[in-house]
Amino acid sequence: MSTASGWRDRARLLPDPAIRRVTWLWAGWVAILLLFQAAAWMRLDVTGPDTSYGWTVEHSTDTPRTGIGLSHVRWDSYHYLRLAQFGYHRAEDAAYYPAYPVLMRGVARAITRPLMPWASALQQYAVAGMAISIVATLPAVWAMHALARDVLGSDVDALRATAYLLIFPTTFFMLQVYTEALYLALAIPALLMAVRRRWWAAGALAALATITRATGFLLVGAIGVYWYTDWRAGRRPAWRTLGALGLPAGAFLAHRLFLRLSDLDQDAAFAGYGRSVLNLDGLREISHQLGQMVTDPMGAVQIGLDVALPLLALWGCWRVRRAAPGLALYGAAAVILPLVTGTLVSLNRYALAATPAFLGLATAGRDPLVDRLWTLGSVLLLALHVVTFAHGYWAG
Amino acid sequence: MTAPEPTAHPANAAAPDRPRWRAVVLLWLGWYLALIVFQQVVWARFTLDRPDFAYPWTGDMTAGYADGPETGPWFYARWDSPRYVAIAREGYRPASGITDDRAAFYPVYPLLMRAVHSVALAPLGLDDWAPGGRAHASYALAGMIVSAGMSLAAALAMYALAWDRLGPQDAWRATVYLLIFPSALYLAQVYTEATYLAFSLGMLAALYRRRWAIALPLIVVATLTRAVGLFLVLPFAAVWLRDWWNGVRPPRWALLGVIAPPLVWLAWNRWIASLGVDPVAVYASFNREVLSLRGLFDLVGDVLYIFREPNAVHVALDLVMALGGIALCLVALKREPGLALYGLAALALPLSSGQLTSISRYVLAAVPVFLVLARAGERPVFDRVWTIVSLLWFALYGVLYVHGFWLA
Repeated sequence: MSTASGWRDRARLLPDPAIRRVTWLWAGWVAILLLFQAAAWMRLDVTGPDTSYGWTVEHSTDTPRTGIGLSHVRWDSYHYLRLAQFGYHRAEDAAYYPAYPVLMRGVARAITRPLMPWASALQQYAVAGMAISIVATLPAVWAMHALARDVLGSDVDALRATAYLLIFPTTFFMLQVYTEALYLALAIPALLMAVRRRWWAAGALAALATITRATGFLLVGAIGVYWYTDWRAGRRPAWRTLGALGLPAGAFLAHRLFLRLSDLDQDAAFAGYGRSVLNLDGLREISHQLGQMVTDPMGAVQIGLDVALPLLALWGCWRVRRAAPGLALYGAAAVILPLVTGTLVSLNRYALAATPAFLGLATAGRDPLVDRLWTLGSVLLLALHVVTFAHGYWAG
Repeated sequence: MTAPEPTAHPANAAAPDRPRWRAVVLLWLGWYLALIVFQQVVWARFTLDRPDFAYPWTGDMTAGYADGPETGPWFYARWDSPRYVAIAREGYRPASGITDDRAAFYPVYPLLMRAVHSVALAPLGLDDWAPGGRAHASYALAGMIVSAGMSLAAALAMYALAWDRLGPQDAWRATVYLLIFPSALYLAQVYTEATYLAFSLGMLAALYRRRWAIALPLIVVATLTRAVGLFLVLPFAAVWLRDWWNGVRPPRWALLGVIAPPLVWLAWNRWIASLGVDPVAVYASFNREVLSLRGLFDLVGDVLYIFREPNAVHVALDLVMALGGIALCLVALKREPGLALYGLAALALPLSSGQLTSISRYVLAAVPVFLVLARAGERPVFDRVWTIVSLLWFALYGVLYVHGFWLA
């Protein structure tokens, strides 16, 4: 065997330069954001309470936890930690999906507990959750780059779309004990597989995304649009591939059944958080929250972002409606579904799930001026969110 | 006589063949609006617990709350800003004897503030404007107007300079990097940074185009804007001597650009002394004594303080800024010796007084920093990563400034 052919074989194992660039970008982003969060914690001392939504006051008076892993545990993180440690018991647990806590339990038992015997159980689980989030962001950005390259057709646009994902104002949730990173690590590859007509892979990933977050089920729509488009175009995918659409539905039903057997009611749990689809009370709640913007400066900023970021995501999806109708549909649905549950709370975070919006933004960013100005605005808002989150304020 | 400056930038097919001045103006406008709005948003969203222990001495100076947006332009005026307002209103009358601290501040910026106030604001009847009970707001507004205009001029000058030195794509990037630099928020506040950069970068752009008649007055004005302007003689002399060495024979009168700044600087100090103020004592009152043993102890003390106080992460950031600035100037030494020496001098002067304090602001004057970064930014990943680093740092400094914490 010649040495030259051996080198060729090895070279094939290396990722292409574009993937290497994205990997470096991801590594830099992880390091920068973790350092910034630590620096923001040390340098600033934000005094509570947070009045942005009236109910945030009582939850933001205590000093937030610090320490490895625990600095990234705020708000919903505690629900996931409790689920990972103790499983589904409380009524409110039903509002949270199981994939992330199940994975957290596995990592905690297999890795962090043996490695950190001195740490409290909460910290062991927190470090496990954070590790999952950090690791999951890598396949998410790889898939984002591949998806953007497939849809937009250029490496430059793909890198821009990936960068926009990483600087989105609420993207820091991907490095916390939150489901965002794991969800995107499943949802974006699912979209990529749909675009590439790998129906079963898309369906399986969508099924996993469905048991990670509620919006995962909407991926069925994206896969369905591509399947139908192929059918209309005469490419005639095999009928049996429609079974791929059943996988997320199966996952969804299995989760509902599990909750029922655990004597938990998911709809009641959502209602406990003020979320019920197309309810008139929801309209009243939204108008009340909009009123809060006028009366409270903190509310003006936070609720303003809860309104502005989903609108921006919808605009981004609209821009790619022709190039990628299935993606645009999913992105719009991922924003609209939480909106119709009758509250503006967390919409800024949910906008992150509308990943096709980044393709739309990336096309706008072909103008260097737009690119720089959006980057400027986005990173400033990202910094604002990180500071508030680190200090236990409501961030999304 | 002029000579084309050798440029090493590679031809770029995608690069514009003519300067995109309009894009730079729009970039500046977007930046300015984003910054002004960001400051309001930060104020509205949260409050910081006081005092600030960034440096051992900042605790005593940050016990009270800072002016809010209800005070109008005073919201954008912190720390040194009231001194500029006082100078613009009253001049340099020594109010507190030989150590009157106004004497440490150079006259061009407050003179421009006074001019804008007299020409544009006083006729509108804004003399008695006191939003939120803060008097003399019209002078603070004049300071903001001057800074806004000068920051635009600085951005355009940076673009022109980098276009000549590096090429079209890098010129755009250098301008962006200047505007998003961690301490660039000072360009929009009641501070002298924008004015100094407008004159110094304008001087350098004219110098490298051999517009001696433009560069000469600008170097004098820059020297009267900030002390560091004195070091602009280094690139000026380097360009003149290189031309001479290459047989281009620049005009002899252009050598005034090397002689005038020290003379102007001396004249300024003599005038200050004639008012009964001792310039050396004034600087000492700010704990700035060049090459003193006490300064060295202060420096060591500040570095050790990093390990004693969480807020002192600020000192660590200042240290990183100083070392990073020096390293980038050294990188530029071979390619741009005149500019690199100027940048190094701009950093060495404050550091030689044993103070890391304010170094993040002083780095703005070190032009090679932006040129080296712009070249490195030809790699897309570096460009994105540096942009994120710089903007997050910029935002952190913005938060500190808004709430009246120590920044620089």
